[in-house]
Amino acid sequence: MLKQEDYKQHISEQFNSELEDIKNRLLEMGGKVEQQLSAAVDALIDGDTGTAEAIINRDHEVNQMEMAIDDECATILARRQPAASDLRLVVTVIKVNTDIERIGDEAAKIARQAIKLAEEGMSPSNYVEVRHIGAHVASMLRNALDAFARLDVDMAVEVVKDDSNVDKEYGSAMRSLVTFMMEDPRDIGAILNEMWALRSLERIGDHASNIAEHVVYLVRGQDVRHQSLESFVEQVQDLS
Amino acid sequence: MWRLQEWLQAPGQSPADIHGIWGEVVARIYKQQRDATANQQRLQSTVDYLLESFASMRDGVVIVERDGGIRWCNEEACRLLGLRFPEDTGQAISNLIRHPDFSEYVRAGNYAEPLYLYTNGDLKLHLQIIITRFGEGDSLLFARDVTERVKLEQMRRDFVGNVSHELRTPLTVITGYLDTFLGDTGRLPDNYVKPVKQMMQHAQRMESMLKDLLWLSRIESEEQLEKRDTVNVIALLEELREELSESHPGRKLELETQSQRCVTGDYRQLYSAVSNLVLNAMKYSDPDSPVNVGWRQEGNTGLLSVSDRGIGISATHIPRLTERFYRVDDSRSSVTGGTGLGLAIVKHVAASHGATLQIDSTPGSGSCFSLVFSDTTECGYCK
Repeated sequence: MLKQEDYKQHISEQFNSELEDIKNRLLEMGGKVEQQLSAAVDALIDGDTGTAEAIINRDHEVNQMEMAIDDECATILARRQPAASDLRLVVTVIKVNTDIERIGDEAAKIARQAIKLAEEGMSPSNYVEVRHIGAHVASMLRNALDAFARLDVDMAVEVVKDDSNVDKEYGSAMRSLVTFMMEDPRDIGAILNEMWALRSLERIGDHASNIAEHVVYLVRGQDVRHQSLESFVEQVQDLS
Repeated sequence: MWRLQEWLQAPGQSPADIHGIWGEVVARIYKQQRDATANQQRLQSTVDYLLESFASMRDGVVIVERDGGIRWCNEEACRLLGLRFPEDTGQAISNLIRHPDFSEYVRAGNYAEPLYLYTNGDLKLHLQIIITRFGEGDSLLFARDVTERVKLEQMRRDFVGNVSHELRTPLTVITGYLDTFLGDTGRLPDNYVKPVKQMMQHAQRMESMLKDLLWLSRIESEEQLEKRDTVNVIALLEELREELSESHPGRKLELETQSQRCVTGDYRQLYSAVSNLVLNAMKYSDPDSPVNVGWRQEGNTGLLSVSDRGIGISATHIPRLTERFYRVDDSRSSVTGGTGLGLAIVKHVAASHGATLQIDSTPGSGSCFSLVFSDTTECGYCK
């Protein structure tokens, strides 16, 4: 099993620091995206178009970080030809990188919906669902990144389990918004905008869960994707 | 000798029973060993004592090693920053505190000012982070929960802003009616003309005061400048001169621009700051004496100074001059019609542009107010 100190065991100091560096940069990018997400949800709830605009404008910074990290990973693969846990780290960073960047895109989409909602009229739902699912998804993302930093499989498992709760909450939010639509068809436009924002939040939950699965792969070397929750939990427990 | 060797390899045992010169050596070694152990224990207990005192602190404390790894942290730090101890020992702190502002702050490495963070974790907290360096590149991080203070500050700002806004409407009605009365003084009884005129004057002062209060609360509430334009100082001064030549005809404003450089910031805020300084200079000097405005540079620093040959300010008042509604002389305000907020606005604008306000004054011979910008830039259209 992979442990924290494992990156410090190479004969080449330079290799150690390269591996540390991609991990640090990935988490820095993660921090940026966490901030983008919570700012986007707040902007939507407060109807703050200024902040929303700033979020959309900052998205390219995340994209640039993604490209820089990918580039560095490719360099490590080519120059060091890592094996075993080092290889898993590089592969995981490449994959998590994509997920984090997508989360950044979804946050920018939420910001776009925030502008639309502020300009074209508020949804009558008072954003209860956005508030709730937003906080839930933000904590999933935080836990997934913490699990990656700490190589903590237990926490990663919690995140994957949590994703099904978000899916359920998303389903019930849809139902309640549909009733709002039936009550007053004039609100349909605004509610559709809110639904898009919720859809983005739900997607962010999926990406956070992907990150958590990659953490399990990184630590245990076992691919645990694409299976039912029950067999996932079973498989992780078998290994430990 | 062999017995000595054996004894040295089994630490903690009392020395073997050796006589003669070897006995002397053994006794010395034994004494040194005991001293070393006692020393070590004393040091260890000091370290434990210090760590314990840190642990009991109400602020979060984290000891960070040179490479950014966490060495030790107390319980409060775990709560505030979401750390775990001892599991997180050796983990890079930036991997767990991922707020972009924090990584920016650490990268800049300038810890003179504390950092304020709004955490978006389960606990929504405003934290004040103070980092100090010690030893060989290690650092000590203190985190304090200032949520309460930030909220109070926010409430105060909102209150001032809201009150000013609410008071404006009734005041507009009052000045409206007074204006109507004064427009037709013939129909007003003679003994009412003077009181109504005074009422008008005071109502107008109140209006400008509310305007300044609103402006001040707006500048204050923008924590970071929203606009970051390149402001051409010379163009700004020219515009100001043009405006003042209309509102204060006959007053002489002398511009001495020795620098072509620009500053980065919000044009409207900078304009209001400079115009406040110039209007003050005009108020407190003779109508026929000129007001000098200078813009020069020393290296990267830009110095914008406004000087007059007026009555000056005694040194005792200078430190409090930028407080809201602070008056050097209470009788003066009603004559000059000032709001008492001008310099407070200047100070806030200066602070948000990374500049400082310097005041030099000699009573009787005049004052000089200078805005010192720490950073100026060269820009294309200056020339």
